[in-house]
Amino acid sequence: MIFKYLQRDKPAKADAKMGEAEAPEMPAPQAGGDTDASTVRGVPAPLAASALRRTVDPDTLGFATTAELTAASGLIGQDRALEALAFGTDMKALDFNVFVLGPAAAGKSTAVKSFLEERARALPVPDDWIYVNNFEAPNRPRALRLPSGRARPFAKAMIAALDELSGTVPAVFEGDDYQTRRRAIDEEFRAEAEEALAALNRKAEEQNVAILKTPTGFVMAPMHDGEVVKPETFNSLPESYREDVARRIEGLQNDLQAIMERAPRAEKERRQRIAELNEEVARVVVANALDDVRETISDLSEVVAHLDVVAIDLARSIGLFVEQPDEEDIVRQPLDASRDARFRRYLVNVIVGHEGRADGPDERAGAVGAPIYEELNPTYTNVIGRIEHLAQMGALVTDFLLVSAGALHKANGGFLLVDARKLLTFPFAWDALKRTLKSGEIRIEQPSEMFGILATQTLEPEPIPLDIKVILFGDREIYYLLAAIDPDFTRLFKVQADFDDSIDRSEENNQAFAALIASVVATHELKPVAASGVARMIEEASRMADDRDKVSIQVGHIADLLREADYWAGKAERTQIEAEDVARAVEGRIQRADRLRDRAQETIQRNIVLIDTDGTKVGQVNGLSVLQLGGFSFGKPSRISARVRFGAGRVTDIEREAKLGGPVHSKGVMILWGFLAGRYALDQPLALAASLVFEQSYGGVEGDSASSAELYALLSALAEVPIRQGLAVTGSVNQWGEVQAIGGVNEKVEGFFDVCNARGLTGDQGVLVPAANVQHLMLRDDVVAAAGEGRFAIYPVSTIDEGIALLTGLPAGERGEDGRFPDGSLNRLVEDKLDLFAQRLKALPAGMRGGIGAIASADGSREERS
Amino acid sequence: MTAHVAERGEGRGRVVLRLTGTHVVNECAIRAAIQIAKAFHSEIESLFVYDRQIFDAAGYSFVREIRGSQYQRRDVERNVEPGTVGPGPTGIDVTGIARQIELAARQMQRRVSELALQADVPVHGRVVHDTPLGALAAACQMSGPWNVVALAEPFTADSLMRLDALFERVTGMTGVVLVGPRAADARGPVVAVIEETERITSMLRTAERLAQASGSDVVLAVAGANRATQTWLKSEVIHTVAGGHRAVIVELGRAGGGTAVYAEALRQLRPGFVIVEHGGLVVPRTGDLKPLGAALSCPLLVVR
Repeated sequence: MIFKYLQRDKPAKADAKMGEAEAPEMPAPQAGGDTDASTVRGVPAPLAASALRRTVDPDTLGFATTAELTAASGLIGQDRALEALAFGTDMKALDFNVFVLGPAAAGKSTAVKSFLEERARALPVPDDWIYVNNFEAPNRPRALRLPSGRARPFAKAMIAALDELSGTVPAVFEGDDYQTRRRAIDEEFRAEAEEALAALNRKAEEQNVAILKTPTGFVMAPMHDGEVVKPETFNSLPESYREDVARRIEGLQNDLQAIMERAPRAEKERRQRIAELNEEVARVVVANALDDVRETISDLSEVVAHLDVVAIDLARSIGLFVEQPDEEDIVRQPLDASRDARFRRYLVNVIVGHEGRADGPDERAGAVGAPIYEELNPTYTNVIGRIEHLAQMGALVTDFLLVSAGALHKANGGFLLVDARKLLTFPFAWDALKRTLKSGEIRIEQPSEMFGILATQTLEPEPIPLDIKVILFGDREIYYLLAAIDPDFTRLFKVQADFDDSIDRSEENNQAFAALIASVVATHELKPVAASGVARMIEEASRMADDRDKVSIQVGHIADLLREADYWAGKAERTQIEAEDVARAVEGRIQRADRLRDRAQETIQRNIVLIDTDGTKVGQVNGLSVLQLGGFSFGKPSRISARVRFGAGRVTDIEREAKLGGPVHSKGVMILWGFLAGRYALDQPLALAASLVFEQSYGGVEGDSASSAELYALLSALAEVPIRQGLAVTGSVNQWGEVQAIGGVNEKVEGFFDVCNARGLTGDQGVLVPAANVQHLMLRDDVVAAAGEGRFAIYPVSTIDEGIALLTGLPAGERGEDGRFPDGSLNRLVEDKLDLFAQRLKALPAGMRGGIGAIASADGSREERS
Repeated sequence: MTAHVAERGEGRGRVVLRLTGTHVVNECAIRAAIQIAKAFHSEIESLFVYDRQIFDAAGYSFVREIRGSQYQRRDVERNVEPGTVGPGPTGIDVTGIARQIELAARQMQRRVSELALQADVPVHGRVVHDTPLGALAAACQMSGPWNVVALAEPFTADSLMRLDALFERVTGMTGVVLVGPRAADARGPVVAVIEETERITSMLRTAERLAQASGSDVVLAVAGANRATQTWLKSEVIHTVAGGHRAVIVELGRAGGGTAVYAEALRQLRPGFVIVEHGGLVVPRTGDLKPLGAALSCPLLVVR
């Protein structure tokens, strides 16, 4: 601490103290873009215009338009990610899947697909998979593997065979050959029964006995002249005659009984004979119909075995094809085997089918190599597959034909690309993917089954072996979150491919970026981009990267900007995209989004929000903040003020007290206390009470980029030296008074510039930025122009002493050998004020010193006792 | 004789559809009756016959019901051992049989009404207690002679014998509609079998009327006892048809073939309705209807 104290606070060379109203002298601009904060009388010089924006000379690019370039693959500057991808895809294991990290719209998906295409091409086209009916257990459909490109022809061949059967079976069964044999069987049995009955009838008639049909059988009775004799008449006949008739009838009844008892057995035998005949005829017909199918799969033993089972079932169920015509049909409709519910069990459900022909209708038509499938809507069923149901008579039914493929099926044997955030959003999807990768097989289950929600007929399709590489996409936050909370994640996704969002600016990378532009042009069929347009795009990409020495390679954003530029080039009737079109696109984009910025500027111009841009004020400084609204961010000045008094040694952050300040902002303010105590009150109490506030701030304040501004306001208030209001300040500060880099420096500078510009630039206005942020400056053309003309200045500031000297015109002063700051220096004034407060504290009776807090509390603040 | 049915309101005949409740009804017979009634702008009398002979038989103690479907016996008199001679105080299970016949009657009458209503043919139902033949004879005598009788039950091997009796006993009818055991709703032309020159015109007219009602074609199938007769008959038919009729003329099988040959020849024509004369080559007075029953799936109008 002492060492630091001596290093930082050594006595300064004396500078004349400036009067309160006296404007400080402006230092001369620094030559070139040198960020070394060399000072004139302890004050940094403003940056030269060339340091405010790093431009590209179109002539150095070496081409006239991008039409001369070879389009890049979209993978520039991603060597680390590519190596990881190559490693991940080469590892033949289900747990070496890849997580691609990187910012959104960075073109990760396009880039990875482009990379994978080459790899996939070298891999074999995976096998086809089909689901067929399991004739032994219909609720457990069988999965069969066929060589690539043979599933669909097989399915079509089955439909063709069924169609053929629907034509040939009725013809064969209505044909003379079958009908003759069928009639022969019918007649054989019917004749036997009928002839026996007819013979009995004749015998009965001969014996004057009538056989009468009842609803359920037969009865006999004595007959005379073809009619039944009435019992009264019969009873009047002689008894011997009656007994004779009764005996004869009993005999006939026994005969009839015997005939009737034979009938069911005969009928059973007849049915058996007909069934045998049907099966015999059907076997031939079915075998003929399936011959063509059999030829196509004769080398596939499992499929042949299935076909054998189908043939047996078809022969047994041949009656399905003999359809009774509908009475309403004017013309008899032919059977449609592919739609007729009766034939469903013979059909083939192609779960994965590769056409293998260039003219095929499938999305994998003409596919060479392994599939690359991107699932854009990774719901559980879209990933794993689904079992659909049909409503029949109020019940939900299903069969193997209602099993649908999921992304895992479609990508099996290749690569599956999924957005991690979407996958995690859908219920059960993430767990299902992990389960599948762990088990190494795709098992289709309905989520409702797992939870027993839906009790209806369902299936257990045979699982299909998995051979896949899953590529998850997501931002870094998701990656680290998953790695932290899900132990399975790191086990299954062992490879991370981390995509950079920017690359260094260099001659070589400018060329690579130009090639990237060419690829965007080709992809979106845009006008070629002139060298000037490419140069401008590089500059804009630097701005996107918030770094003059980097270029953003977030392809999505670059493509968006380029497409807008293409639009403006078209409006201007240009055949190529020029720098003006890119600038117009940027301007248009801002114009569309900056309504709130305009309103903010307007409130300042109309003095509703009080911002001074000239003159001087004690304890008041212009801070800068950035507002991010959607995809648009802009800077806005805020007045920061400080008040000090004798007190208990605490800086009160009003934002924090009002619960408007975030933790980082509060931290920044607390550091101020550390700075004050360390520099000015090493051996005496810091009997100071100070309050800091962002004036007219009604929302939250976060970040520490205003901490240097707050410190300047505090020092001004303590020294009672005014600050130039034509300057604005950004930068955080540490306890040693070093000014540190902040984010959004360009927006902040431009925000203050816009306010000053609207009021008229005086030449005394400017912004103090951390020297470390000079490398990030990619300011707008108008700001650069104003700086070049000396109407606006950007000051690189490394220390608080430099900043306060610039703001107040007083030298900060360094401690001399006597340990004191030089007279007239700002530090001396501050130290004197703090000494005064300390003396007052010491002068208080011992009993009252502890009451300072209570006194302070009376004005509403909550100070701690020192 | 001409197969003719009196028009409704004429009071000289109708289609008499006989239902007994003891046989399985083939709906084809009901449809055939309706088709004829429609063709002749006539009506249907649905005549349900309670066979009184069954109730007479119930009076005999030594008679029992032999049931085909369940191999069961229904003893005529429960108190009397089977085989005991002599009349018993009560007959067969009359109540049960009567109940079953009554239920069958209701169901059949309702079905006939439904089908007739669909075809826009008037239908009147009547229930009689008589013998099946006697009921028809009485009905046709009451209002005749231009009746066609339709038998709802399929014919069997010995039906020809009964058919002969029917034509003999029921004088007030011009024809009988029969269906075989394989009868179904066959679709096809109306085939009129021409066996005599005198019948060419009447058969053609009847066939045309039926064909018009069903929207089908007419086929005249010529059947002669020998080759010469058949050829001559065919030339006569051609001559008749040439006078503004539309009909296909074919020879029905080999001349002089038996009933089985004619039956097979008719089957090959895939007819929707067959009109044939009684006592001719196809439906002789003696023999049996078995070949026709086996071959045809359409109704058969046998003309007196």
